[in-house]
Parts: sequence; C-alpha cells; structure tokens
Amino acid sequence: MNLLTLSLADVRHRKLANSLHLILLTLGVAIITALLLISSEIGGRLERDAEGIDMVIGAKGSPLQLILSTVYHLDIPTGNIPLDEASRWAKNPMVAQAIPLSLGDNTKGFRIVGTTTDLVQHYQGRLRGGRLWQRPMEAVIGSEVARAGLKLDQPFVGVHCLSAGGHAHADHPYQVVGVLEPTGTVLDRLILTSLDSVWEIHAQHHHDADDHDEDAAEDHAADHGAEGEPAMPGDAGAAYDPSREITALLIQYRSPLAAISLPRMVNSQSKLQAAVPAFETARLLQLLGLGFDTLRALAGVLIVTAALSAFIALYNAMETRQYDLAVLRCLGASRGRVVAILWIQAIALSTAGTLLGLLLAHAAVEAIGRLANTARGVDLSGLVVLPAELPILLLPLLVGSVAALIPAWRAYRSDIAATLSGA
Amino acid sequence: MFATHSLQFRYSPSAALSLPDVHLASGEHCLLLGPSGCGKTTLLHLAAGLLRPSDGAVVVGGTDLGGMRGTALDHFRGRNIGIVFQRLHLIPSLTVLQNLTSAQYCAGLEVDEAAARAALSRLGIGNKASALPGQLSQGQAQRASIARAIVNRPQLILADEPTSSLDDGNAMLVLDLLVEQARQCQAVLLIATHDARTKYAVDRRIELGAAA
Repeated sequence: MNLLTLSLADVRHRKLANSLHLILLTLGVAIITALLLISSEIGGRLERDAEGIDMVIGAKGSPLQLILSTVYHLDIPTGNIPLDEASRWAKNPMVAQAIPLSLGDNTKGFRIVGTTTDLVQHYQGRLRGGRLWQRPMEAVIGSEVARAGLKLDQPFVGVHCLSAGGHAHADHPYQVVGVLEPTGTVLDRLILTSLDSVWEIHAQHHHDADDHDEDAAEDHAADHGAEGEPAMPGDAGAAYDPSREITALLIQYRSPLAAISLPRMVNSQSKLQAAVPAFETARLLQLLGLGFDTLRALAGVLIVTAALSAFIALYNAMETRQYDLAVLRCLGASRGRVVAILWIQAIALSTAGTLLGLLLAHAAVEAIGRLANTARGVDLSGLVVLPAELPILLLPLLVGSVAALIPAWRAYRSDIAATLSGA
Repeated sequence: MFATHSLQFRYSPSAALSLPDVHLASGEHCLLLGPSGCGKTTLLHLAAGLLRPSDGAVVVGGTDLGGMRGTALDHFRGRNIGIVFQRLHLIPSLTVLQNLTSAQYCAGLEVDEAAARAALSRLGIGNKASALPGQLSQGQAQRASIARAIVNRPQLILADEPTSSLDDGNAMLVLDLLVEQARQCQAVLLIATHDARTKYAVDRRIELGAAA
C-alpha cells in the first residue's frame, strides 16, 4: 500500500474511460513526433545531398528542376550542355572543383550516372567490394542498388530514360566492378560509370535512333551526350573532350566570394544556367513547409483535444472520487497526500500516453520507410531519436499537471464532513 | 478519555447548535439518540475533527483537537479515531484488504497486512480479503467497514447510523460486533442512531433534542 497503489487503483478500476483518454493522448503525441521525424529526415537528407555543391551549371530551364535532377536525382534534367563550354567554366579560377554528370539511362529505376570518380570522393563513398571503374561499361553501384539485387561482377543492361520501362540497350551490357558502402546520401541510389560509357551507348543508340523515336518527350532533353558523335570505346581520357555534351557540372567554389559573381557570370555570359542548391532547397522546403505547418497545427489541435479530454476525465473522476478522497482524509491522509494521489494518477496517464505516442510514431515512420519504395528518394528511419523530441517528454508533466490542477484544488479545499454526509 | 465542553457549532451566522457536554471513560459505550436533524452527525463530525466547533472543545485521550491543524490533525484522527459511516464508504477500486491497509497507510502507520487480515478474520470475512467492495453483500460490506474502523486499534470508535439499513437480525449482529470490537480495543464507542433496536445493546445514552 502506497501512493502509487492508491492512484493507480482507480485507473485500473475504470479501464474503459481511462484507455480512451490514453488513446487520444497517444495519437496526438504520435502525430507530432512523426511529423518532427519525417520533416527532419527529409530536411537532413536534402542538406547532406547538397553539401559541398555550391552551384550547378546545366541547360537553361527551371533552376529548381536543374537542382532536383542533378543533385537529388529526383526530376528529369533540363537538357544537355556542350562539354567544351562546360569545361571553360570548370577551368575558371574561382572554381575549386567541377564534377561532370551525364544522365540518361536507368536500370530497375536506379539512375546510371556518367561521371568522374570525384563524385564518389565528394560523397565520401567507400568501396565495400571490388574497385572503381577504369574502362567504359564498368559500373560501381550504391548500397541501395546492391540491396535491390545487383551483385558484383554481374552484367546488367541500361534502359533508356530515367525511370523503369524504357528502351533497353541490350547490346551494351554494363558490368558491376564495385559496390559502395552506405553513405546516407543520394549516392546510395546511383549507378556510377564513366562519361565514356554513356557516350558510347548513346552514340550507338543514335545510329539506330529511328527505332524508338516514340520515346517520351521528357527523355529527349536528357538524352544524349553523344548527338552525332562516333563511338570512341576505350577512350578513358575523353572526359573533357570539347565536342561532347554532358548534363551538368557540379561546382565547388574556391572562395565564398565566388557566390556573388560566378552564378551571375554564368547566367549572363553563356547559354548555360547556373543554379544554387542552397537557394533552391530552401525554396523547396518552404513549399513543403506549408504542408508540414498545416499538419503540425492539426497535431496541435489533437494534443489540445487529448489534454482537454484528460482534463475532463479527471475532473469528472473527481466527482466520484470526492467520496474516496474524503474517506482517505478521514482515515488520516493529509490534504497534500490526497492532491498527490490525484496528480500521480494524471501524470501516470499522460506519461503512458506520451511514451506510447513516441513509440507509435517511431514504429510508423520506420514502417513507412520500409514499405515505401526506397528509389522514391528519401529513406525514412524510425530508429533515430531527435533532440527535438525531448520537449515532447515534458508534455505529460504539463498536460497532467494542468488537468489535475482544478480537481486537486477541489480535493484540497473540500469539506470532508459535507462531502460525506451529502452522500 | 473522550470529552466535549460546551460545544457550539454554527452552520451559518444565524443558525447555531449547542451540544450537551459528553464525558466518556475508556472502554465506555454510549448511544447518541435523537430525531433526524438534531445534530447527531454534526456531533460525530466534531468528535472526529472533521468539523471545527465555533466554540468549546473536543478532547480525545487527553489531546484537544482544537489545538491541532492540518496534517497533524489528519494523522491523529487516522491513528486514534475509527469511523463507521452510514454509507460505509469503502473505496470501490481497492480490495477489502487494501481498504484496510490504506487506513494504516493514511494514518502514517506501518502497513501490516497480517494485522489487517486478522481484523478481517475477527469479523468473519477473512476469505473476502481480495474481493472488491462491489462483490460483497450488504452484510459483508458492513463488516468490512467495521474492520477498517478498528484496524488501527483506535481509542475512539464513532459509528453513524450503522444499523439503519439492516433488518433486525443483522442490526443486532452489527451492534454486537461493534461492541465486541470496541471492547477488544478498550475503545470508547459512540453510536449515533435513531434506531430504537440499538437500545438493547448499549446502556448509556445521550438524548439530543430537536434542531435548535
């Protein structure tokens, strides 16, 4: 027999009413936690993917589209740019590093990216097995691609266009020569190869282009680093051949000062477009943020409802518990103890609701992360705990205390004699 | 052992009640008789320290209740005064045994399950220790509430209309139990009642007049 027994006996005695409030509280906490998790993981992912990429140079079009297609690999590219013009910018003294990208094909929905090994170093990719590509048609795959079934030394065929189901380049199979460790970035979802591989395929592809001119218009922009070019197999040194095309250049500035002049220079002095990931990402998150804010407000309403219901429940419970508490007073319990009994009951209920809510949110986010196709872009994990969740743990203290306040005050003030004889 | 001196209680500024002085020695039993509304329950509540008199004093075992406040008074009541309510007031969410141990706990005494079980056995409901009050018959619940009143071996046992809802047989049984338990505790027993049947069980009586 102690305070806890006295408090919890009532919870156990009226299971239905109490579990109802528990469910309401749990749902409210779960929604707000899940929102926190999802928005932070999406935001964090976008940030990691764009880290160290100060500017992207690509074909004219929507800057957001350029960033989405070349940094996050979510959208289709705006088009291609001549390699000689791109390399002119790459040699600009304000540029510390320029990584070329050439997009166009996929396998099983994973994009095949023609690039240099700098991209692997940029995302700090490490090989789990095999080696980096050295010759055309050799490919290194990200961890998620490996998880989807591609293995070391396995040949695979690139499919024209950026999502599954296009024309297959069956006569030009790739060979997996390396598998990367997970990096938690977009690199995990990419198949990397040399620029030559992409050029080689599409040079060939161009010769029999008439066969599939019905290719969706969207592919067309991204199509070909190799318009009218003869295939040059084995030409590993051709990465900056001036007569070829690439999709984009990922630029890292040599000094922060470049941020002021370089994008403007690119946009005004050439037919190319420069887009700044940080700026476009902020714009994207702002758009998403509206949705998150609405959901957050909804969760807030739910939590207030839950708190209100816990409050009403406790208040009503007081009407019936007035006698119990008066009896306890008769048996010698002090006012403080009676208040403590109520408070513990309220805190126990709301703590349980909060913990269940946190658990539910993490389980739900983890489930969404596992069920949703990983190729969709952001892989969600419910196994991460955010610092932002700490304030949520204070919630039961707040809700419970507020809910117990008036009933406790009534219990504190109650006239035992009047309560008992009024029975 | 138990005494009241020129007690007065004001229900409101205009309605005051004067109560006769009561002096009871240790182990003495007494009936508080009178029609409904004459102040029997008020006197019991004053005796238990649940109400404060507007004038006069209540002394239990040499201690003036008026001299104590708050927690001290609550603990004194828990340890020295056992109350049997008219409507029993067993706590429905606790088992019969827990109702008894909560009396020990609330009084600030050590929780002694053996003593609580012994009290239940003395009243013939030892086998109902883990039942909830809602599962008891009226007679068993009556016994459980007496057991709770005596579990801390109080010096003063107060009973408010303990027999009013019982038939003749059970009324006599309950009175006998109260008297018997009070005797075992060497406690003063004060029973407020308008039930004529109780007159056969207890000799000493105090008659209260109609409401003043």
